[in-house]
Amino acid sequence: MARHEVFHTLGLRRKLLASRLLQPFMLFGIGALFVYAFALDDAALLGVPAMTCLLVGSMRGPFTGGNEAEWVRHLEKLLRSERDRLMGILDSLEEGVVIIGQDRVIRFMNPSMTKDFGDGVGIRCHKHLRGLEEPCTGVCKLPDVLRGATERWESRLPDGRIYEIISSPFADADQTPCMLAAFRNVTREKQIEIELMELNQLKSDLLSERTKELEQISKDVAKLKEEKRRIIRFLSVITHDLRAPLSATQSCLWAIMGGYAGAVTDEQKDLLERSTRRIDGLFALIADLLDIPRIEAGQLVNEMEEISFNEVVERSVDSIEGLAKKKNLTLDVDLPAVSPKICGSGRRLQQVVTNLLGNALNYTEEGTILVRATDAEDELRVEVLDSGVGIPPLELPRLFQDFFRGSNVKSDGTGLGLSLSRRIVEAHGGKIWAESPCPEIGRGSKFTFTLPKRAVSSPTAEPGIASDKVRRNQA
Amino acid sequence: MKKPIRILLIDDDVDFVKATTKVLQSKPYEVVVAHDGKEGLEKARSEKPDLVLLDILMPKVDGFGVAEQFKKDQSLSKIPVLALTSFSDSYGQPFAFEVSDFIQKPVSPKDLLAKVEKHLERLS
Repeated sequence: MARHEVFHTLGLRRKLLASRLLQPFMLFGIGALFVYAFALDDAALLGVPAMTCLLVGSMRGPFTGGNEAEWVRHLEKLLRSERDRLMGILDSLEEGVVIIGQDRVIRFMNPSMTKDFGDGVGIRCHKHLRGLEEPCTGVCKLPDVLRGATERWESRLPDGRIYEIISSPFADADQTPCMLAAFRNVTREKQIEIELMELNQLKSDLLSERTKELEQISKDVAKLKEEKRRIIRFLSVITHDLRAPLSATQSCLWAIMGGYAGAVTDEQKDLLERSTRRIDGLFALIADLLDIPRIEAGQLVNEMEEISFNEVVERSVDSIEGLAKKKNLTLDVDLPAVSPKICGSGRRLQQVVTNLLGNALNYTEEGTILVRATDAEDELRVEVLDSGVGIPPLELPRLFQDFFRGSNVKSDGTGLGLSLSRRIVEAHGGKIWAESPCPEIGRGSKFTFTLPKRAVSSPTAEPGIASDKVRRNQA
Repeated sequence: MKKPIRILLIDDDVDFVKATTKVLQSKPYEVVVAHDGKEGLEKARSEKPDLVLLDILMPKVDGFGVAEQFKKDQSLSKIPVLALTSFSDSYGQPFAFEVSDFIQKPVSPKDLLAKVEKHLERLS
């Protein structure tokens, strides 16, 4: 063999040796970087191992056929630095990197892996990573990876930690087929994901619950509205049917009384007057009876508008002024200087004031009746005071009940006036009560009702309506 | 001889009609009666009344319908229409139609005659 041939063979051998020495590191490094790049989902990093390949290859070139010893030294230095660089990368990787042999024994763990699982080199993977005596059933990827597959999956450890693992086939330094796996701890991410999912579930549960509730409520509301319409329709029909015959009878009686059907004697006239009075009483009773369900069905809301409060009181006073004059009673009216504007049913509130004044008139034979309205900070207050017979204390609490008639009663009212007044005041959000004897007079009684300001707009100054301390003396 | 004043009374309640006719006949009025809205409209066109007394709740065409036809029909639109109302008819909602006046049922003879006279005077 020629010298140059021997030299050539030697060189070839050394080259082979060098490539054998280099290959595991190269593969290891490339594998690790591939894994790293995969783990980071960064395609740009895939370029790094490719570059490394080219670099190593090109550096070998210039020494082909050069000084052997120098070349080997150079190669060693190169390998060392390359190895140090790759080890440095592996050391500083946040991901855990592990190499497992086909015998399931852990051959390598980088510091991150050791930090998370403890040093397990030389221990079987299932024992060290999962604490199992036997290989993990069902989840072990080793056989697939050894056949050449790259597997990416998530694994939950018995202690609850969750790792995203990428396993690739890898030939170790001794050329034995191994599995290279990169572990990325995704426990926190998964927890957040789970919490988010739970929150979303909770949100949708709550939403569907609320939706169901709302559907039920709207069904109930529709049912109630229909019921209300039905009641009001029914009331309209019976109102008409009850009133129509009375109305015809009354019209006939009035025609006879007026002499339109021939002359009427005084005796006949007296009897006719009695009849028409009874019919008037029936009209009042029908109106009161039908008012109760109407108010309870919430119909008052339809009647509510902005009204001048003083006007309500003044109209009521006007309607009973004549009667007070007849009985020689003093009727005093005390109203705010500026009429508060309120949102309410003027007709109904007038009904209340008229009812209270009517009662005062019925039970007072001499003295004074005072109606006083005050515009307080948070409410409007109306008081009706009289110097009449008063109300026995035991009867006070029952005064506002339907058909309650006190022992002092001498009028032929419907027995519904005060209970209706209570309903009207309550429909406006107010309160009504009675005191007897009247604290200010020492006898008689005092009826008070309030209207809260929440349903009341602020009083606007209207000098035209203002009536300061109106006093009407009929005595 | 002066043409007598003709009043058309449209109401389905025969007893009410009887009483009201008696009251109206105390004056030199000729009373024409119709017992429902449809008949009322027919008689309004054929009898050419000077004034109409109109009930609200009636079979066939009710008072609202009659009043509407009166407004539409040029030959009738000048005739005063007095609506006969029960308070309950307008409960909570104002009447949605225009008439010359309202008369509360049961009708007091004095009120009735006063209102009829007032609206007839306006015509002359």
